[in-house]
Amino acid sequence: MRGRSRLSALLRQDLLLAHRSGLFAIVLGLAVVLALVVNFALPTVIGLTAHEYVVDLAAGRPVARALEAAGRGDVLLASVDDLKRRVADDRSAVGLVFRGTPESPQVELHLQGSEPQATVNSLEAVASALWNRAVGPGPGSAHRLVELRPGSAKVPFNKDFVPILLVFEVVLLGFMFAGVMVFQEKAEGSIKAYRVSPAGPWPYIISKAAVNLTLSLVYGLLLVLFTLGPRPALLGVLGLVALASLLMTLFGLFLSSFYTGLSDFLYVLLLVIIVFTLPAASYFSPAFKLPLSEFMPSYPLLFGVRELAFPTGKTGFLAPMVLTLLAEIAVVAGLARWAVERKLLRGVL
Amino acid sequence: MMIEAKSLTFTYPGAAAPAVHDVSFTLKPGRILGFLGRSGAGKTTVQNLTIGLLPLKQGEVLYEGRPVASLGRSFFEHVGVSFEHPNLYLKLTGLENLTLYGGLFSGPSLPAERVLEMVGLTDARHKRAAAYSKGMKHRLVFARAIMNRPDVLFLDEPTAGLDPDTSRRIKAIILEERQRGAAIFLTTHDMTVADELCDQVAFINEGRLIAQDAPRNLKLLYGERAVRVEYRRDDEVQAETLFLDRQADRSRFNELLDGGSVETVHSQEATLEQIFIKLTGRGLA
Repeated sequence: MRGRSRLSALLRQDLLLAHRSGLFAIVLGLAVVLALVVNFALPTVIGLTAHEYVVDLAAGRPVARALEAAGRGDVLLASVDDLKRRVADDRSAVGLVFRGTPESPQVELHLQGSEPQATVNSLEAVASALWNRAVGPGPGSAHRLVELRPGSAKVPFNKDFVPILLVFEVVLLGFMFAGVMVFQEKAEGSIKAYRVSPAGPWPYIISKAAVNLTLSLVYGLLLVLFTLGPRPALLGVLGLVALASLLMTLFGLFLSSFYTGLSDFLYVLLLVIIVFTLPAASYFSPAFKLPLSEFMPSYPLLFGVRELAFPTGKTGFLAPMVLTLLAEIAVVAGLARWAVERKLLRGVL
Repeated sequence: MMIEAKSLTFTYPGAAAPAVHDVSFTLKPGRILGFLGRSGAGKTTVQNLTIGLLPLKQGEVLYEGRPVASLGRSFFEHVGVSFEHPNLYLKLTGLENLTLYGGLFSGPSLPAERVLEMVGLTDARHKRAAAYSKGMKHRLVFARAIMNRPDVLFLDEPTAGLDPDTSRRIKAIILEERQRGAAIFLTTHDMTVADELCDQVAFINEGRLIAQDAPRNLKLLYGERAVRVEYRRDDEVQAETLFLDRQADRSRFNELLDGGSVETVHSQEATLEQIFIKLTGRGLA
């Protein structure tokens, strides 16, 4: 009973301090700015290259007709010379020239020369698909599309950023805010007063974690509502946000206990930012995976939030992931308790 | 609550010499023990060892016969600490600082408003601590230390930087706390404060206790029995210091008294400051 009252006093104190230190304003501002970026600055679709130009010199101009019918007549040019000039002028442009007949099609790719082979291969496939759609599959065309998860929604490019913005901001803010709270108390000396109070390490840790949890949930709720809108998965997404926040707050409390001030802690902060954001590389290019990056807690969180926000039906990994995160939280909580007791509440400050 | 500290010795990590060496003292309920010494002499280290904030490697601290390390955090229910350097939540008001800190204790606490009134901060209770003057911050830290009605009170320079009026008010509260039965451990380099408040004083120099006794006993032990007499002769005020242990001075003193021209007589007992200088070869400031 008394423990609850003690925790309640601490929580009121930490919420007040977070409010007066502008942490709620920072989180609100960040959610609004990032929602604006997602909704208005990022494109919904991103092309293979920045600009493509097409010249159709084939008999009957089948590709040009197909593009015009699809409302993409803007990419059509009248001559190869015009196409060459535009590709030469714009270093992000490529050109496709169609010639020949339906029986004997020919395609020229006009490239900058710096495109990676994967882009060249993709452009060849695009040219082939354009021709096939315009005149029907040729005798050599035998491919077909099979969707393993036909229920999967096509995720707009800009919305696909939301899981990244949710997970990484919560991870970084949780870690950083925990450090800021500890260093503020060290700088003011107020931690010395706490040291000689009957409240031990747990109320201190739980109160800080609860404040960061509140900040993270406010941020997560606003970002999801402003970008994806209300959806059934919101609660699940916020649940993962809560786990991320708890884990990183506890980790931040553990590490910051060993440092005297924010300036000493800066190197650790940078290292944590780099290490914990490595999984972002795998998010947009699943084939690209840095060693050990999948063992970062942010890796499963990222894909977990994406699965909940944009379901594909591949949910088998969620329950083990949550259990793993809970186990990690328990371990880091133990470390945080040890560090707070040893380095903040006793010994030389 | 009785405190016994026995042979406390502590060396900070990386330091070549101990900050505190073989310090022992006893503090009983309703008594004030003053620890006097220069900055860096080891006063705060002794205090932190006594509170249990620093790990004891040598020596022991007992509260009612129980080692401080075995007491757990509930021990702090009975302790109040006023720090020399104000350590407040600067973004909280004076009232919030006290109310929220009071919420950490289980036992009955004095209402925050009442404690603020005792230290003269009622008018500033809704101001953030960041806007307080140094003296106001000091008073707020002192108020925080006494609000849980502690059995043991640690006061580090409780009147430093206070104006005479406020200083008097704080000293009166300290004496009330003693009257209530609190054992008070007071560190200061202000000999006047120590003289006014302490039942016992301990001089600490370079981590070692060099003298420990009641102020009166120390004065008797280290001072000289002398009087300074001012008298009038030929319309001019003249003064002489006479040592009462010398036969010639005693005769001269009687002669002056018999002559009827004596205007003032002041005893010349040694001050704590003079005793400290005598023992250490240097002053406290």
